[in-house]
Amino acid sequence: MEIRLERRPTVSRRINISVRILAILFSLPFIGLLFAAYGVNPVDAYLRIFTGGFGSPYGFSETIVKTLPIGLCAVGLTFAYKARVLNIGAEGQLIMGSIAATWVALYSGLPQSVITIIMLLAGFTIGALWALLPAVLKSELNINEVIVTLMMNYISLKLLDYAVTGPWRGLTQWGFPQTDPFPSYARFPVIGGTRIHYYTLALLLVSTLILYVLMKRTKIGYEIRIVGSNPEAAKYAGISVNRNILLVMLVSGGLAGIAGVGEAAGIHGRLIRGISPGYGYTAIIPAWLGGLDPLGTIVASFFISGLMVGSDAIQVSLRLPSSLVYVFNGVILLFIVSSEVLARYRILFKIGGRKIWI
Amino acid sequence: MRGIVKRFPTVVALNNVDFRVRQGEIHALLGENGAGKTTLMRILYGMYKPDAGEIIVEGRRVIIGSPRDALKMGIGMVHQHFMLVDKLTVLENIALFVEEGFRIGFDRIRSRVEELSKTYGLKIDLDAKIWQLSAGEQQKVEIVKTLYRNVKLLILDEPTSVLTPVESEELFKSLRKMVETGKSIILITHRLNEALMASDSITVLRKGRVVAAEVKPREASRLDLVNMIVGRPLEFRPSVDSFKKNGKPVLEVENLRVLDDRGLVAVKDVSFILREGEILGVAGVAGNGQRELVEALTGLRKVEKGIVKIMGVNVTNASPKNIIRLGVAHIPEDRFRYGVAPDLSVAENMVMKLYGEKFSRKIFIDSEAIRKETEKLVQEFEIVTPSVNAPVSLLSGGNIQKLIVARELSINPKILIASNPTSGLDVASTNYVHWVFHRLREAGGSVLLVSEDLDEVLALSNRILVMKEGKIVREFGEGASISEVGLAMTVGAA
Amino acid sequence: MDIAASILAEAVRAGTPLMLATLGEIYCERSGVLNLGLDGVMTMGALAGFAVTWLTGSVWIGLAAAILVGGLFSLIHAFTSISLGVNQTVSGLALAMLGTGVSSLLGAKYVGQPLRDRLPILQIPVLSEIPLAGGFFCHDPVVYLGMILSILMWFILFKTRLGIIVRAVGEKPEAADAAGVNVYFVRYFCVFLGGVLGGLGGAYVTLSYTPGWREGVMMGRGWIALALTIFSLWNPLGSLIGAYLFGGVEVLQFHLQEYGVPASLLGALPYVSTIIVLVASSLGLLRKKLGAPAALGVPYRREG
Repeated sequence: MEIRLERRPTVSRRINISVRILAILFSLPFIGLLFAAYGVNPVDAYLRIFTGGFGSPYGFSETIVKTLPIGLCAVGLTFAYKARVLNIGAEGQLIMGSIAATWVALYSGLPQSVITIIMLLAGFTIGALWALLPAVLKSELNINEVIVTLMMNYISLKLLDYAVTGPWRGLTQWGFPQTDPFPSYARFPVIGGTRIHYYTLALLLVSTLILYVLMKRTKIGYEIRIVGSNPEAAKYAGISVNRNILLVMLVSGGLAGIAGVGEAAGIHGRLIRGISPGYGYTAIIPAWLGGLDPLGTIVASFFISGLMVGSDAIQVSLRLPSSLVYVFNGVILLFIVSSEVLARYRILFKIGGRKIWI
Repeated sequence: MRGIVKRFPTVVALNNVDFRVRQGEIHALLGENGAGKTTLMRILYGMYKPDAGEIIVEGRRVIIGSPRDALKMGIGMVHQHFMLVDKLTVLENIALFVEEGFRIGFDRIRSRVEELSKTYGLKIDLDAKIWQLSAGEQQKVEIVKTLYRNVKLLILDEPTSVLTPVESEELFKSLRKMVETGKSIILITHRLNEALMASDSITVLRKGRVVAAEVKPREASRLDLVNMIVGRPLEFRPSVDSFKKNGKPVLEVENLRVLDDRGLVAVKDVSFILREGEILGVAGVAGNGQRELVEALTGLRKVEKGIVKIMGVNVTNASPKNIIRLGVAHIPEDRFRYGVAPDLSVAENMVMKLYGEKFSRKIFIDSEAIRKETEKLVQEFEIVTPSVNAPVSLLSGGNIQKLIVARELSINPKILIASNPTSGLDVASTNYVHWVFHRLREAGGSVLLVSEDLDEVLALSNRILVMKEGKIVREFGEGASISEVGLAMTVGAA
Repeated sequence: MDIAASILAEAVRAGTPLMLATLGEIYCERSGVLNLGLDGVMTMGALAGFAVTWLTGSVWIGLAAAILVGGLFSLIHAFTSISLGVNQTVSGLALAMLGTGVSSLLGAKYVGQPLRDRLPILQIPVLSEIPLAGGFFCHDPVVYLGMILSILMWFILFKTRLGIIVRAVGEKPEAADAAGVNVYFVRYFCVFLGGVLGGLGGAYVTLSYTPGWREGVMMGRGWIALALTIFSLWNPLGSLIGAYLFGGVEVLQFHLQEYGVPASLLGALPYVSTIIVLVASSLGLLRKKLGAPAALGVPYRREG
């Protein structure tokens, strides 16, 4: 018997999508094995996860709550990944956004009427600037953006740490590492009965729409896709590669920054250590998945948020550590990236003269 | 080799091919680009597996599963694109190839290489790094590598494509010496003259089939062979008709100095003028600075010293965008590196130069217009593709080249800078491209044709510049002969 | 003066996990495979080393386990990158996340547990008696292993045919293939080696440098090692300089705290240094026109 990989003669959207869905389905039993190794019944665990994330109105609304930061980061990252700029720094850009929002809310002394707008602008700007350094290093010196953005993530964590344990330490918080709460006018309103802060929701939907149109129907989207596909060809065609790298990094950094503002002003109402349980990293998966278009990214973000909410639920009931989400992330991403091979190649089985293709 | 069949996803490369080589002969495998010559030899060398057919070596049926097997049977191959590692030295490359297992000292290799050099007249410097060597020197390393392994049958894939005419002569002398010691040689070539002059026996392949086997050069007529290679008469015979000798200069280059990727000077001090309505050919073997020259002219490489003017406008170190705006089209030498974006569709690639002006309104792109235009060009240039929305990576190399040519010509350029525009194209397509160049010239445009194919340069150009080691060493007007130009390529400034 | 000597000795210890991981990654990248999952590999090795030591009571068995786990874990990346030919950056990233998650999951019960067995300190006779530099020669075996390995691996890479094969596979796999080398096997081996050394480096942290297991014990060292791979110009001897330099930065971090610099800001020092190191490397590379192995990150496919 002979097994070979052969290039597919055609590429269809249907194959692309079904391959990726298969990947996610196959990854779940794999994670189940890890549950079992830990001593937890996988079926039980999965049931709890899915009911936790989607089975109740509370779970559902919490899933949307998580979709806000994850979705915002993911949509921005989709933009960057299309240009083959691997921004892994959404986590740090988010944190910096929340730090910016905190400064505006607690220390800027700005009038109430503009606080919200300024918070959002500041968050976007700081997030974008945090992405600027890796962008410039990549475009000018060809330095791998993965390592730099990751380092920026660690640095942002330290800055956060410094802020909440040092100069911004809450005067009323009795030793917990967090700042004072934001004044009520600086907090984002929520949809009644839930924690969904709808300013951020609106921004998520708007930005998704804008980026969708941008990527599919405008010159900018076209240029970005060429840069992502072959930067040398882009140069040859007169497209400025550097400008596009900067653009996608600034936008993805800015959107992550807004996600950070949402978390600070919409959920916690203050700056705390652990303001992001890895949202920026989790967002990588829907971004990579939805690489086909930003709409798919939102759907994928929703599902992975549900997974995260469900995992939170079983953390308490089954006493699992919080980094469970990284297990999900890692396995799913591995399966997805491996499945891409199947989208471009097919497996040929030659058994005794007969040929079978998958 | 009997009944060899080889299929690739989009084409049948070899269709029931029989091929026989006798001991002690130089056998030319002749055919145009894409005929299947390299594919057939790669099967012999174990790099490809045939879908059908058998190989018989010295009377025994054998299976050659890898280059290792081939070498064990005494079959060696010198590829068209050298299998040498740039950053390693000659000695290290040879050690990689000839030794087995893990070794530390390489003295044995040194002495044996010196022996081989003397016997066959191939001088090489063992401690030089490959990137420091010229193409001709690298080829010598490749040949020594295979001789070291005591091959009995040596396959050479288009060896003269990187050599000057004089170097080619030297090569054939070395080949004769090898044959005298009992070795056999297969010479893959698309050049008829070579086959006639250097070989003892010729087999012609066309579109994956054998059309003539073991033809003796003395007995064959040129015309018959040409017909066998091509299969149909050429529609356009490029002829150099007189042109307005003193047209306006459209491209002026003065004292240009450009560095290559390693920081060495590739273009030393080049000056020339391209005039309106002419085709200016730049002849020379690859690696003499042509690539860097073209990249400097199109804004893809930095100009260290000197001036470039297009239509009187100083464009030295201008961005590619500005140069394109002046009406310059560029068919790049490396089609995969510069020419296409592999993940995008045929249509999207076709409008890479014009998307801004012709196919968009404000910031939006007009997909419908793009589709129509692409379909028109696909038909005109006979580009083989499942659809205009298919990803360009599915196209064969030749069709990608056609796409690039179509795209560049479709912007109605005033100046076309073309680097090896017909490499990898079959004769019919080459012919069509030449005709389009001709048409462009008739309409008042100009072409800077940089090509390694001396025949092409001679056939199309009104004037010819010979480039060697970064300098223009001679200029020829109309009516230059191939031997004159060939000599200039070797010797240099007269 | 004494402080300087002890800082040096500490720097060597601090730099050892980095050096081991960097050495492994150098071979891995020299063969053409980029393993961004190094941090995950190190973390898995760190857990395996600690857990097995706790379970068996022997630090040597623990180290052996760490090596095995590191190697096997990196084989996942080897499979996806070499046999499947996926985007190595994303696969590596997934591996890193996976390593973090799985190790946290399986390591939860080991948090707070004491180290059950320690590595012996080997005092080199005569040299360890030297008044100031003596501290340099009183280390556990893994430190010495690091030093020896860097020299050994340098020799192999540049002076033997084995090294030529590895370098050829990473620069131009077609040439190696045409020479009869099994490109896939060489790459698998180098990725495995990278995992082995990464696991060892990780285990050194939990078994010796900061004994004990907790989430995040690696503190991003895997990523720093990736930067050091570039900084060392893919030369094992270069990793010696880079790793110990970083070890010095880490040690400096703790000493500067005494001067009132806030701990959390100091904590950013290694990461800022990494970025500086990357910039310096890039500028240096541009000037020297050296660079990464030409086929780094590009899966090899033989046509036909």
